[in-house]
Amino acid sequence: MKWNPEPILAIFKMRLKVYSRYPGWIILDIIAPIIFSVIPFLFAVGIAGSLERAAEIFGNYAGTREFLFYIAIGSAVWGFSTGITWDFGMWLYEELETGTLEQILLTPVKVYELLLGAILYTSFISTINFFLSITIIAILFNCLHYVLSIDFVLALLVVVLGIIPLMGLALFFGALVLKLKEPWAFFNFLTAFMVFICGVFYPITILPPIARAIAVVIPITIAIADARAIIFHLNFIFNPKIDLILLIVYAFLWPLLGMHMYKRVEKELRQRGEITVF
Amino acid sequence: MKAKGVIRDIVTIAKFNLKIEMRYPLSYVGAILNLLFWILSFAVLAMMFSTGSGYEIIVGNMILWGIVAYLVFQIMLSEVAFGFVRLQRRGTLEQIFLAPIKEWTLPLGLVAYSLVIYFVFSLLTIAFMVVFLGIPLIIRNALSGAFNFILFLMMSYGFALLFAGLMLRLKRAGWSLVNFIQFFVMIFGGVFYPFRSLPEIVLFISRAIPFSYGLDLLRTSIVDVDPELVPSVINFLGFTISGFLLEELLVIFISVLSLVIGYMYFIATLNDAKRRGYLATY
Repeated sequence: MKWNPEPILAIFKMRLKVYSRYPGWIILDIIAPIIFSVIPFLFAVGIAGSLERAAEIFGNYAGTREFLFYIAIGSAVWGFSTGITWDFGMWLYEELETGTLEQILLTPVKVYELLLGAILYTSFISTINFFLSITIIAILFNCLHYVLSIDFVLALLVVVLGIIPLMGLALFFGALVLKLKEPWAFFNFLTAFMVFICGVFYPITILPPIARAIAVVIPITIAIADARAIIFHLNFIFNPKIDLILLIVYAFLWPLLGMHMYKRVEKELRQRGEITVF
Repeated sequence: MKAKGVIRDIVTIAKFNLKIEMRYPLSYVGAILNLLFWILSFAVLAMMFSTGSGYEIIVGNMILWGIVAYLVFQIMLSEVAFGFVRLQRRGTLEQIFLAPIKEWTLPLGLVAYSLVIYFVFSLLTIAFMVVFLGIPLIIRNALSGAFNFILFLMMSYGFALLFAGLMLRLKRAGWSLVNFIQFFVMIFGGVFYPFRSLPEIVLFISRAIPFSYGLDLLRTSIVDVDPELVPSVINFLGFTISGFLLEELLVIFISVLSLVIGYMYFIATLNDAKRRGYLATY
């Protein structure tokens, strides 16, 4: 299979141009993880009665008293992953809603190239937003020493490795959106489910075994837990080697599954003449 | 006869929207699951941080009513402000406004419909929180709570109209603005925590948001504790009034004002859109 970089770059640039026209969205994407870090933090302080008591309790469960930055890492990685899955799925849906999806799919380029361009754009934007959010949180809450360490660079590498399976996940969910035509329903469920199961606000060790088993199937669980383990010197999900192998396996498995799902749905819609039907 | 006709129009709009929404049960399953998993996530946090002092029951109830109130605000904004833009985007808004009904009945019909949805979601929220967080429900002053809830509805509707007008003008850029406001209110409006646990700097911002007073009055009157955003007793020019009364007067003022401003701005935008022809363009 021969790849042509031109359409990939063209769709990447087109989407970037549209995004840059709405600075409000850019700001919102950056501040969302900050908000989702501060809310559970203040909630915890409210329940525990004081910041000191909250930090002490959190330390007993998670192994570190730095619970704001701990939650911030979870929220930023979660924001980054929902950004990738949500944006790509919504893009497909918006093209379907406005009736332009069929036109796009009729352009004389391979469907892989179109999808790759769109997913690369989403991943690029989400990565930049992730980095900006975490840096702002670190500056605001006096945690910059964590960001300016080698450990943080290593943690970033783990998060970046998690992008590949996320692209596959995005494709998988994007195909589901095309089939079900109700993206809000789907993403409403998915975003909240990921917060609960992937340990965004707390360590997954607190969840029951069955929930933990489901959690490790989702790549961002590993990305969140391992990034925290590196930064705060905590336990990994299994151990560094097994976690890395799992991420690499997911990096192959999820894109293949996503592509298979997408091709199946597209074929189905094409046969029924529903690509342009909203 | 005239009033009867208007009520019939509002009920028709509400029924029309409900009928459409009922055709997409999946979106409600998604929204219910969203609610469930968010509450489960906070339930895990509550379980971790609970100290067993007994004060958590009051805090839990404050959070519960905070979420219920935020749902009103959020649903009104979604169904009224986003609702108009959805219609504008699909190109049906101009057709709808050509129907022989009063213009102000359309947002009211959307609100009536969203309140039906809200009622179901509020009951679910209360049930989820009572079950998963183990919070015994406290309703000590139902009458005062009901009155303050009506004020809160008025305030939320006023803001929803204001944002509906803004979104008709701003189009896609307006989505991020309204989303930002929802986030802003969520964090500074004390939805997930009592105001008393907030740091002074956050409290300073909370006091500048009208929503905070509506929420504070609503939940403290239901749970029957002193309001958190105003002192318990205020001495002014030799007169002594309770903090509760002051907050009550303040919320009545804000509710009426936001309703008047919201309505005026919405109608002004509508007329402007008709004149300049952007009612049907997105």
